[in-house]
Amino acid sequence: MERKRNRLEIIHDILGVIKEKQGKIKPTQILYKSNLSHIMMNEYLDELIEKQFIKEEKTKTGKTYLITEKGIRYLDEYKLVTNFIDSFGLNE
Amino acid sequence: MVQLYVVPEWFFGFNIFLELIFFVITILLASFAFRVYRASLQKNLRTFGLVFASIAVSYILLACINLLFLSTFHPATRALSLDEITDLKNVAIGLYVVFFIIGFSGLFHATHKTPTRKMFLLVDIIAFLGVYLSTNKALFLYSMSSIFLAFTVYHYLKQYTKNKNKNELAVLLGMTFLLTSQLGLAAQSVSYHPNLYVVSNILELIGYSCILISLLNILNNGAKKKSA
Repeated sequence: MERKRNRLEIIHDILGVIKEKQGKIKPTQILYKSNLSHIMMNEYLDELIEKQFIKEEKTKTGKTYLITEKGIRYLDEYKLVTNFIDSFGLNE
Repeated sequence: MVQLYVVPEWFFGFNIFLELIFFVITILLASFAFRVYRASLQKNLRTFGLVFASIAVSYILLACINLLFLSTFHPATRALSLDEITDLKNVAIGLYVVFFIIGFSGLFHATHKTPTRKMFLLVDIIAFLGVYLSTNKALFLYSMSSIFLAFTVYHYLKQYTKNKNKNELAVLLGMTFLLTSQLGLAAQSVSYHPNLYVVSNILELIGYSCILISLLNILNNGAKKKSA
């Protein structure tokens, strides 16, 4: 059985999925690829928007999410972030 | 005469040099914590950064205090005496105590995820009152930092036992050496044995070296990932 992902891993997975789709994605695609429930996905998306890791765009066909520079930076620094947090026991 | 600590004459100068090294290491750690906070926006990382920034400031203040205010105690030793109090000495020692307490109590809070800022503030107020009201201020100060570090060491021990990660081991060892160093300073404040001061400083150096090794490993692994 797969172990439960922590918060940082889930954020990494969501941002990774958006980046894979050339930085722009619809909510249903995130739902399928991120392996989260609809409620959890919306909670994480709200958090990511608040932290400016992604931005929401409303189009005629619906909502899309775009990854920001901050979001890309998170992906680049992810290994550093997790190693630091694990080494210094700062898991939330 | 009331002394906070006693320094052997031959060690004077080395102690200031070591305090500057400790300042550099703690500022590096604080900077790194802030960098990781900016990338992840995880709040306890900002707290961790502020904690080590506070500890760094306390080391710079201690280096200045040692340079300016130590007086001859016995032949071949110098001491930080509380007998001749000048305004500048008062301010310097007071600030050192403030940043020291915030730093070590903050380390406990950052690693234990204490529920509210009020709890943090309450512990600090009790600590400041304790230093102010106690007759042996150095004993109280270093005993208190030892207690905070003991809890912190226990936290890292639990983490290491669960994950068996090399970096976690380095941090655990580092914190353990810092704890023994604080215990040594507490003992020195009662016995006034100059060698205890030297031993405590060496233990502190070993402690911060272990923490620095862990930090360099993290940086190295991060750099390898980027270039891969």
